[in-house]
Amino acid sequence: MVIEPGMDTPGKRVEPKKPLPATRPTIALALGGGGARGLAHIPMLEVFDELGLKPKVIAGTSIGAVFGAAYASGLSAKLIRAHAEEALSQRFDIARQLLSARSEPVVKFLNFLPLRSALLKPEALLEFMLPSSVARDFAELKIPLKIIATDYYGQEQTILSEGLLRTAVAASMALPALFTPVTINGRMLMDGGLTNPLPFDILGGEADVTVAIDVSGAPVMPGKRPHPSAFAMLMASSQIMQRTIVRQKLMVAQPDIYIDVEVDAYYVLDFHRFKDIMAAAAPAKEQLRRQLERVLSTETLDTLPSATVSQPVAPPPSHGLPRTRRLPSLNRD
Amino acid sequence: MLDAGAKSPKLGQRIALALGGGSARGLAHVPMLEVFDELGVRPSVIAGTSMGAICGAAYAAGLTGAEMREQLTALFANRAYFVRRFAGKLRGGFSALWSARMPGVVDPVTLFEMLLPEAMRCDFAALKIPFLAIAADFYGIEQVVLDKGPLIPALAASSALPSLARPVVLGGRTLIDGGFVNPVPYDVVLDRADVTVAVDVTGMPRRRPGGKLPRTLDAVTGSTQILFHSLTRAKLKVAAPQILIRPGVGAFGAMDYFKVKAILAAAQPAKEDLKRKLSQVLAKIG
Repeated sequence: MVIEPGMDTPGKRVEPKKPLPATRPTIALALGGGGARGLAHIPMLEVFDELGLKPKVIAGTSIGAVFGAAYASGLSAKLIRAHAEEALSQRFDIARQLLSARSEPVVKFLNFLPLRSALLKPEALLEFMLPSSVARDFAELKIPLKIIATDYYGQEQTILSEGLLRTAVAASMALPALFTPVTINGRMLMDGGLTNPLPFDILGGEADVTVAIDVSGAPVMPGKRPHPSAFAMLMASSQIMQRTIVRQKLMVAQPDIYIDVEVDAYYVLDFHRFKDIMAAAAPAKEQLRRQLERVLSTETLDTLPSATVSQPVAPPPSHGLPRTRRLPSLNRD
Repeated sequence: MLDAGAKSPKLGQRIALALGGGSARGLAHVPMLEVFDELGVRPSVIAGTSMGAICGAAYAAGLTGAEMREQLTALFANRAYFVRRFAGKLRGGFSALWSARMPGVVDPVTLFEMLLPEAMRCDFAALKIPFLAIAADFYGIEQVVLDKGPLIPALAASSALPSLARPVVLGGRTLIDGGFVNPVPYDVVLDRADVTVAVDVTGMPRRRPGGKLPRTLDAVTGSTQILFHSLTRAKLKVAAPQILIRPGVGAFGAMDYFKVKAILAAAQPAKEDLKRKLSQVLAKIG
C-alpha cells in the first residue's frame, strides 16, 4: 500500500484543514550498500511511512537496491519487514545456513572450486528476500528508482532505471566471489558498491531534500585476537575502501540529511542476525525522524511574497570541505 | 647514488612525487624516477603507497632510477635466481616468514628485511629526500602517514595486502596496505610543493577470451582494482595533481614480477610523457 500525504484510508482522500503550502519539499532518498547491515534500511523506510512521506525518487546500491525496489513497488516498510523476518528466520533453512556461515566455510568451499565463476546466483537470493508483489519491471514502479551497478570491464558505475527490475537488483548486489555477475545489454555487471557505495550524488537536483542512509559500517576490533582471519580482513578491507570513497564524495557534495547507521558489529553476510541489526538501527531511525521533521517544519512554511524574488544564493564552499552543519562523523571512537 | 650535481629544490619550484600502489605493476615507477635523474631534478618530497612506497623509499635512500632498474631486472630475471637468493637469506628458516597460526600469509617485515637493499635499512630521518609512506589503520578506518622511525616496518605496513601479508602493528595500530585508503597518495603532498607529479599504476580487470565470466579469484582482484579506481576518481574531484601519469601497465597482474622487462618496456611511453611534461613545467617555473 502506498501511503501518501493527506491520505488516511486508501481511495478516500481526506481534505487537509489547510491547503498544503506550495513549498512542501520533495525528498530524494539514497540507500547505500552493506550486505546484511542493509537490513537497517527497513526501519528507515518505516520513518517515511510513519511521517506520511513519499520519496520523489530513490537510488539504491546493492542491499539498498533490494529494499529500494520493494519500497518503490509500493510495499509498506512494515510489509517489507514482515517478509524479511519470515524469509530469514524460518522458511529457507538452506539459504539461511549458507548465509549464516559467516562465509568462511563458503570460501573454503570456493577454494576447492577455483575454476567456478561464483557460488550463488543473485536472483536466487532475491527470490526469497523480496515478496512476490515486488514489481517485475521498472515501468510498474510507483516511485522512480535508480539502481547502481558496476560495469566490471568498464570499471565504472552504471545507473539502471528501465527494463527488468529483478535483473537490475541482482546486478547491483552481485558481490564478487559469492555471486555470479549479471550481464545486461552485453555488459558484465557486479556489485554497485564497488563504484558508488552511497548513491546520493546521482540524485543532485532531483528533489528539494536529499537523504542518504549509510550502512557501510566499520571493521570492529575482535575480542582478544590480534588479527582477524585473512578472509575477514579481505572483506573488511573492501569495506574500508567503500567508506573511504563515501568520505571523498562527501568532500565534494553533501546530502541534506546523512544518517550513518551504527551497524559496525555486523558482517556482510550476517542476514540471520536481522533482529539485532534492526535493534541496532533504532537510534538512527529516531535521528532520521527528527531530521526529517525539522526539515519539514522549516521548509513547509508558506511562501512569503518577498521570497519569490530570486535571492542571491551563497556559493558552495570552494575549498571543498564538508559543511560543518551536518558533518558526518565517519571516524567514530 | 644521487648525482651530486642534481639541483636542490628552490622555493617556487619544489616538485612533489606521489607513487601509487600496484604490486608488480609498480615496477613502472622506476622509469619515472629515471626521468628525475635525467632532468637533474630532485623531488622535494616523495609519498608512496605499497609498491610506490618501496620504490619511493629506495629513491629517497639514494638509489638512482638506473640502479633500481639494474637490481630489479637482475633479481626478477628468472625464478631460479630469485629462489636461490631468497633461500640464501632465509637465516631464521621458513618459520620466520610464515607462522602456523596464519598459514599462507607471510610476515612482510621479515620478507622486506631479506629482500630490500642495505641502504634501505635505516630510519626515515636518514633518507636524503623527505619521504612519507601511506598505510591504512584497519580498525580506525583511516589513513596513517608514516614519516618517522625505522623505514622497513613502515614499508611493510604500507604493502601488507590482506590475505597475502600479515598486518603490521605499529604504535598500537593494526596497519594494512595503504591502497585501501589512498591508492595514489598525491593529496598528502599537494601543499608541500609547487608542482605535484602522481603516478597511478592501478591495474584493470583482464578479459578472458570468448567472453567467458572471470574466474572467482580474478573477479575478487578485479573488483578490488575497481574500488581503487573509484577511490582515485572520487579524490580527483576534490583536488588533482598538476601532472598525473598512468603508465600503460594496467594489463599486468599483481604478481607479474618476473615480467619485469616487459613492464619496464610498457612504461617507456609514459616515461617520455612525464619527461616532456616535467620539462615544460620546469621551463615555466625555472
